[in-house]
Amino acid sequence: MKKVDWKRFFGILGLVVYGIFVLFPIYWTINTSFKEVGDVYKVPPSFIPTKFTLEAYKFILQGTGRLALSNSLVVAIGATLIAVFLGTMASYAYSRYPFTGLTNEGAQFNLLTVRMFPPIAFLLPIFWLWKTLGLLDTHFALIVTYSAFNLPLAVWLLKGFMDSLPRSIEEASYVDGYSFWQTARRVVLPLIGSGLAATVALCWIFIWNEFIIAYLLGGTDVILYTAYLPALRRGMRIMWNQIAALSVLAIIPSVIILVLFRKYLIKIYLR
Amino acid sequence: MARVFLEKVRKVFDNKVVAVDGLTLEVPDRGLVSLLGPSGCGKTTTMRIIAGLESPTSGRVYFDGQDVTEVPPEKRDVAMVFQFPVIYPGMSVYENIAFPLVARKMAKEEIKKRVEEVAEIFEITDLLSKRTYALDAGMKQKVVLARTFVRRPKVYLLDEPLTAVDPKTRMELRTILKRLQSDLGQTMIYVTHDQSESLTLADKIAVMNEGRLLQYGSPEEVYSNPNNTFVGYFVGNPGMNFINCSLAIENNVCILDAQDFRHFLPEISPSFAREIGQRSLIVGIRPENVEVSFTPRENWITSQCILSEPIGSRVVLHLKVGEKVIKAKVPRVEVEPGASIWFHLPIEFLKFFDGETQEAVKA
Amino acid sequence: MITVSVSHLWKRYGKTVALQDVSAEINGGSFFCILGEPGAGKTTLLRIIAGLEVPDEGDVFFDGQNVTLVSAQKRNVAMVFQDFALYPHMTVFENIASPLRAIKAEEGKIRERVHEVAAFLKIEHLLDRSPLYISGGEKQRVAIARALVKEPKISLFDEPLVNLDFKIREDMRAQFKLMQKEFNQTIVFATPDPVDAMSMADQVLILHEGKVQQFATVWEAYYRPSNMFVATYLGFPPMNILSGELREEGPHLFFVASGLKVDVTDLPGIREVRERKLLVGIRPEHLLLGDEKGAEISWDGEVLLSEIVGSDTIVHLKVGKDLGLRSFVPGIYRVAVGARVTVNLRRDNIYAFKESGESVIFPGRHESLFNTFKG
Repeated sequence: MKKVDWKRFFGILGLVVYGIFVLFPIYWTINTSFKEVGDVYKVPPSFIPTKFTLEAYKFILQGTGRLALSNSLVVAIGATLIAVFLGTMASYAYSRYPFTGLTNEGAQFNLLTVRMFPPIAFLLPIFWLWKTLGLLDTHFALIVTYSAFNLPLAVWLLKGFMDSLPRSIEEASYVDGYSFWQTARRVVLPLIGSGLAATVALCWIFIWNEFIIAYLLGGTDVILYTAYLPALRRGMRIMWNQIAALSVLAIIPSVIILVLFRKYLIKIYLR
Repeated sequence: MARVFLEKVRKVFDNKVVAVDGLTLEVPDRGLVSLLGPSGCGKTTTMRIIAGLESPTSGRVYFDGQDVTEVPPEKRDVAMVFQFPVIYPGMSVYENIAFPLVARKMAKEEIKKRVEEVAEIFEITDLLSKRTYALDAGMKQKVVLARTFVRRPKVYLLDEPLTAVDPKTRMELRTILKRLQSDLGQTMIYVTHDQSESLTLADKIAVMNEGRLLQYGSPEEVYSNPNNTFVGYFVGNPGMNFINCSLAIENNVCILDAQDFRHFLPEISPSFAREIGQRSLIVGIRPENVEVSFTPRENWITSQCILSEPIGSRVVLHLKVGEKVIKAKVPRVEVEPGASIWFHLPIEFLKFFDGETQEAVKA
Repeated sequence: MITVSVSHLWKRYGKTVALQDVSAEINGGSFFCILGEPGAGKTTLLRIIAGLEVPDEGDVFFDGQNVTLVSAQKRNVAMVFQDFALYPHMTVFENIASPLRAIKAEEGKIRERVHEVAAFLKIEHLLDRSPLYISGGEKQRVAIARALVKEPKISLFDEPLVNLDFKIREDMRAQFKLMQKEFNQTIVFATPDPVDAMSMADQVLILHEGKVQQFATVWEAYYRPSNMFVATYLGFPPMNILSGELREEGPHLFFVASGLKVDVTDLPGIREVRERKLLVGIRPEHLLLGDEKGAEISWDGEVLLSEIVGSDTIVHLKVGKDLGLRSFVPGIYRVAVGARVTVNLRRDNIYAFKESGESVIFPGRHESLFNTFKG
C-alpha cells in the first residue's frame, strides 16, 4: 500500500482553491465580454455566452474606446520612460553621494513623503496649475503628472539595486581607462538591468491602472481608458459587456509586460 | 565530554554536489581534533552534520556509541562557534555570557561565579559591564567563546573561530584555547584552513580535500609522514617540494633521476630501488630539510636562485634547476637574484609518492 | 615605470582624519608596502594615488608631474581591489581584456596579450568562464591579470590577500614577487599583515591613525624602528615588551624589570639616555633556547605553551617572577608544558623605548652590526 502524502495533498488542494479565487474574475470578465448585453443581466448567469458575439469589441474598437486605449498607451509609455530615466539618474546620485546637499538623507525622505499623501489632496492645485497654463486635457500634462507621481517609486526601487552594486566595480572600470558615461553604459546599466526591468513593470502597472488623475486632468480631448470605462452606459443601463471587452483589451499590455519582466519583478521581493 | 564517531558519512547537495564522501572518523573523548583543508573541502559540512544542522545523505553519527543521526541539534548538547561572532545586541557582555545559564534557570550566584571565572580566562573581566556594540570583531569573538565555554556542553564545535579576528587577538585566543582544552579536557572539534592552527592546537588532525579524509593522525605524523602529496603540500609553511622522478641504478648505486638533475642516493638499497623504481614517482621534501651551500660541493646540485622570500627570521629561497623550482628554507641570508646556489636532498627527509595515485610509497 | 611621490597629503571624511601630512616617494620598479591596521588610512592613500579620491591638501606627482587633479582613467594605473571587483556580467576573458578595449587596441593584439598574461598566471583554462563561478584564488588571479594586461605605470593592490585561504596567501606572496620581476612593475601593496611586508617589500610605509610612523626599507624599519609601534608591528610574532627602569650601581648600569636584572653598562648609546623609566623590547626570534655558547644574557624560564606556526614554533615562557616572554624557534620544536629551559639573548639585540614610545636603543644603531645584517 502506498502511503498517502497528506501534506502534499492539502498543499495542492490549497493551491487549486487559490487559483480559482484568482482566476475566476478574469474568466468572468472574458465570459461577459463575449455576451450580448441582455445575456449579461440574465438570472441565473450563464457560465458561457448563450450567444457568442463580438459586438462589444466592435463597439469599443470603432468608437472612443480605441482613442482612449491609444491615449492611455501614449501617456503610460511616455510617463514610464521619463520616470525610469530620471529615476535611474537620481537613484545613482542618492546611492553614491548620500551626504551632499541635494541627495542627503533628509532629501531622500522628502521624496518618499510625496507618496504618503492621498493624491486627491494635491490634485486640485495641480488641476488649477494646468488649467492656468492652458495645458489641461493634453498628453503633455498627463505625462508630466504621471511621471512626477511615479518618480519617487522609481528612485526608491532603483536605489536598492544601485546600493547592492559594489562601488569597487565602477572604480575598477575607471582605473581600466573608461570615463564616467562609458562606465555607466558598460557596467552600471547591464548590472542593474533586472532592476530597471522591474521598475519599468511596476511604474507601468501604476500608471496604466490609474483613475483619479486620468479623470481630473483628462477627460474630453484626451480621454484615457480608465476615465472612459464609467462612461459606458445607456441611460440607466450599464453596458457590462462593453466594459468587460475594454477591460480585456486593457489587460493585454500589462500581461505582455508581466510575462516579459516576471523574473525581474520577483527580485524585488527576494531582496 | 563525549566520544564522537562518524560512520561512512556522505552528504550530497542538490543530487549532484558531493560535499562529504564516505567519511569515517572517530573523535576520542576529551580529544581536540582539527578538520583541516581548503575552502570547499567538506570540513564545515562535516561539522554541521555533527551539530545536527545538516542530516547526512547516508551514514550514521554516534555520540558515546549512541546513534544521534536523527536527533535534532538542540537535543545533542553541542556548542558551536562560527567564523563571524554571533552576539546578542543590546545586552551587556555579562548578560551575553550568562545567557545560556539563565536559559537553564541556574541560581544567580552560581551564574555570577561561572561568568566571572570564564571572563577571567578570556581576559575580558573589565569588559563585563560594557555594551556589545562598542566591541571590535576580536573582542566579540572572545565574548562568544566565553559564552560557549560557560555552558560545558558535551562537544564543542569551532568553525574557523579565529579567521575573522585581527592577528593580535588571534594569537591571544590560540593560547587561551590551548590552555582551556588541556585544563578542561573537553571534546573539541576545530575546523580551519590554517594549518598552523591545527598543528598548534590539535591532538589529532584530519586533513580533508574534495570531501574525502586524506589522513588522520597526530600533528607530528601529518607533518613528517604525509601519506599523500596534498597533505604534504597543505601542511607546512611553505608546503613540501614535489619533484617528478624515477629511480635508476648505475654501478649498483641508486640514482634519483629528475630529468633536470640527478641525485646520488647511495643509502637506498638497489633492491628497494628496483622494487619501487618501476613506476613514475614523485619525491617530496620539506623546504626546511633542503640543505644549501653558497660554494660548490661535490655531488650537490647546482641551481640558480630566482627569488628569496623572507619569512620571520628565515628566508625561503626559490632555486631553479632546468624547468624545476625547489624551495629551501634557511636561516636569514641576503641572496642576490640570479646567484648560484648548490643544494642537496638528505635521504632521511625524502618521501616517495606514486606518480599516478599521489599516495605515499611505503618502504 | 615611474617614480610616484606624494607630498603632505591630508584627507578628512567628516570629522575623521584619514590622512595627516603623509609624504612618501615610491621608486620605479620597487615593491612598496603600505602597512597599517584597519582604519590606518592605507586604502585612502592608495585611492588618492589611483585618482579615485582627491586629497584635501597636498599633491601627487608621477615622474615629477603634478597629477593630483587628473582623473583615474587618464592616469594609466592598475588597481587590484580587496573584493576583486570583477565584472560579473562578462567572461573572464572580457574582464582581462577590459583595459585594452578602453584604449581601443586591435582585436588580435588583445587576444595575444590576454593569453600571454593568463598563461603566466595559469588561468588560461578559465578564460571562457563567468567570474561568478570560480574560486577566490582564481578570482584573485583574474583581477591581477586585468591589472597586468595594460602594462600600467604603477599597480596598486588593496589588501588582496585578506579574503583568501591561508595556503593560497602563502603561494600568492611568491607569485607577486616573481610577477613584479617578470613584468618589471612598480607595485604599491596595502596590507595589515606584517608578514606580507617582510616577505615581499623593498620599502615600507607604516601608517597609524593616518600618520606616517616610519618610511624606510623593510630591514631598516626592522632594525631601526622609529618608535615602539613600528617595532611591535613589524615582526612576527610581535616583540616582547618589558617595562622597567634603569638603575645605577657604582660604575654599573642595570635595567630592572619584574625581578630581572640586566647589565647594560656596555650597551652603546645607553649613557645618552636621560630617562630612568624605559620600555625594553626583545624580538622573539632573538630569544634563543638551550645552551647557547657565548650568550651574554641568560635566564631560567618555564615553558607555558609551545605553539606551532607554519613550520616554526613559538614558545611561551615564564621568566623571573611572572614575566611572560615569547621565543621564536625555527622548525617544529616540541617541548613539554612546565619544562625548564635556559633563555639566551645577545645584548646588542636589545631595543629600548621612552615611555612616549620613541626609540632610544636598537640593534641598527651599531653601524657594523647593521652591515652584517645586510650580508
